[in-house]
Amino acid sequence: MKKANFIFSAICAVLGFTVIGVTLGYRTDFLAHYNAGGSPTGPELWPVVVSVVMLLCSALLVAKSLKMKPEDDTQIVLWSEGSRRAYLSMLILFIYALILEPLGFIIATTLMEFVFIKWFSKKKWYWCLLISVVVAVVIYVVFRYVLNVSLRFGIFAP
Amino acid sequence: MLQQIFTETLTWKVILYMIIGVAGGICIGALPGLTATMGVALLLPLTFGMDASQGILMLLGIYCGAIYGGSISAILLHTPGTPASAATAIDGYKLAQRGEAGRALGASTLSSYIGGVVSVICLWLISPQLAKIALKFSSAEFFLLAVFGLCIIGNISGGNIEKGLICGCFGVLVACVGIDSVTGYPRFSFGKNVNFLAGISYIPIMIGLFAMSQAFENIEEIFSEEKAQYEVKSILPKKEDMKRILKIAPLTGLIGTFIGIVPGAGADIGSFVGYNVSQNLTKNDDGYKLGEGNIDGVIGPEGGNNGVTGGAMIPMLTLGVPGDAVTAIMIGALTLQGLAPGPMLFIQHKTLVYTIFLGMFIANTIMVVMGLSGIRLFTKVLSIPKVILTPIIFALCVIGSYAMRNNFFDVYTMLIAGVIGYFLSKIKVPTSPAILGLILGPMAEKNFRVALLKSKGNPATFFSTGICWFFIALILISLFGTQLKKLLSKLFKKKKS
Repeated sequence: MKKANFIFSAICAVLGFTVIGVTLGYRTDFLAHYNAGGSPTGPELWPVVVSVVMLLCSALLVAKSLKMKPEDDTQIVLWSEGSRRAYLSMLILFIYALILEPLGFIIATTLMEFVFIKWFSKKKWYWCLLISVVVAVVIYVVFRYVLNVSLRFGIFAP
Repeated sequence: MLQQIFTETLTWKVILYMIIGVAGGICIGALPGLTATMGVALLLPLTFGMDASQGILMLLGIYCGAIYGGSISAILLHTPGTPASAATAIDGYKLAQRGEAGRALGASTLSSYIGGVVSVICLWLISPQLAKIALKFSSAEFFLLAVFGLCIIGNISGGNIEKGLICGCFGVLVACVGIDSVTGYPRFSFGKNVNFLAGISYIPIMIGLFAMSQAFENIEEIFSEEKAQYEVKSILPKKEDMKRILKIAPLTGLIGTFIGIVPGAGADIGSFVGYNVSQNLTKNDDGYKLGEGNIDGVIGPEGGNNGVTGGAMIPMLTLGVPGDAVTAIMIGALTLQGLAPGPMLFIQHKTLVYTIFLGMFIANTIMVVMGLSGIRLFTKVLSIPKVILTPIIFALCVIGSYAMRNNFFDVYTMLIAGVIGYFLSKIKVPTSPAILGLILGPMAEKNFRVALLKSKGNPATFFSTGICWFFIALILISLFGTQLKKLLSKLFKKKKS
């Protein structure tokens, strides 16, 4: 947990400094182009204040982690069989999001469902395909015709 | 107006949506790995095409049903279906092991109902009065209220105050993306990209943080299946149990209501506080202490957790400040219907507000009827294979995120939020503060800057009224309350010695 806390604090510190750096540039631009009415506060104030609070909390977290006793430290497992399954699922879902627009909802969702159900279950491929098609069609019908959500994209889109 | 409310609430369509919502909520709550927040986030897109009252009441049905449904797996599997039922699992499972699963489930159903009804009564009585007070708020008061809500983040993050505040700050920063509401200046637009100019919608982020990240965690244990092994018999509570339910559940329901009013404090806190109340009130009539299978260990937490449901609606409806993560999502639902939560809702949409109050009462009634008559059916839900359910959740998350603005950018936002939420939960960073930050951040910023504009840059405006000082006191207590308590107890000990 100590190591994870340090990495998390470092990421937040980088984010905080980046936000401060970017938004301080807004002040000059804002005064030059937008401040016709003389607003007492500009668009940079709030992000800077919040980033400073974030940096303070990151520093406090580092200090707390340094004081942490070894017996209070816990292991974070980021590379186990279960977590590898989760990472692969994330990848599959990003690919699903990419193919959704060109292929359309029913085909892309059927493929996604088939991949997951075949991977996780011991069923025969035709049962997995049948379940995938049924799930994709039911969700499509509910969103398209019951909830009137437009799903007009993909191969068969008008 | 009452006739109008009854006409609007008791249409067959609204009742049908509430029945579907409650039934769906009980199923979602019963399944370990699916939380009430996840269920509401996942099914929020279903409300897009509905009327405001239909959509909100369906979501409330899911909320009430899911908080109650968590007790089913808590009692039968010793695995709480939702975090709100963690306390119920302690005594509930021991009762099931003794062959009294039906007794525990019956007590849980009635306690949840009583807790829920008590919270609806409080909602009915308190909200209009609070809305009247809130009408007197100006920008300065709303700014201080939002800051108080953000400060509370630290207190509800448990031992991880710094992590909770960092997450809250992250939520506030994400809300800064887009066009500044006061000056119209584009912030973090990455070269005036139209998707970033429009701002990052918080509903895909909620779906990602609560539903998708939970689904990724479920993938880790996808191959572990749990089946209920205890038979459910004689659900209706006996006379002795009824006396204890009527004694404990209203009290824990009331306490749960006030816990729900505190921004960010949810049903999980309500359930453990309810359990503590049971510890003080139990008489060990069964011959079993609390923790060994005492029925009071089921009644207290279940009254407490359902008591939070109405309580959390109070600050959400009257002030636009969510009482917990679920009501934060409800704000999204109201916004989608073109409604802004806050005191003006009670003036411009009075009928809708009272429809919500009556609808919550009806939802709780549907829940108790379903629970007592169909509990054996709901226990079958525990047998639904995760290998089919989890991919369906993935598809619903994606299509739900897309359906909001017909924009694939929201799908990618949801996926990224889901990945971030997964890793944050691994390193024990609470994600609810991010949602509070997303909602309260813009409220705080806008009101701060408008207050200064109105006062021509004079910061004394934030100290000008009694309400301002009240919120300042609350902010100081929330930030320094623990240290103040330690200091006072040290001084008190010195005086004694």
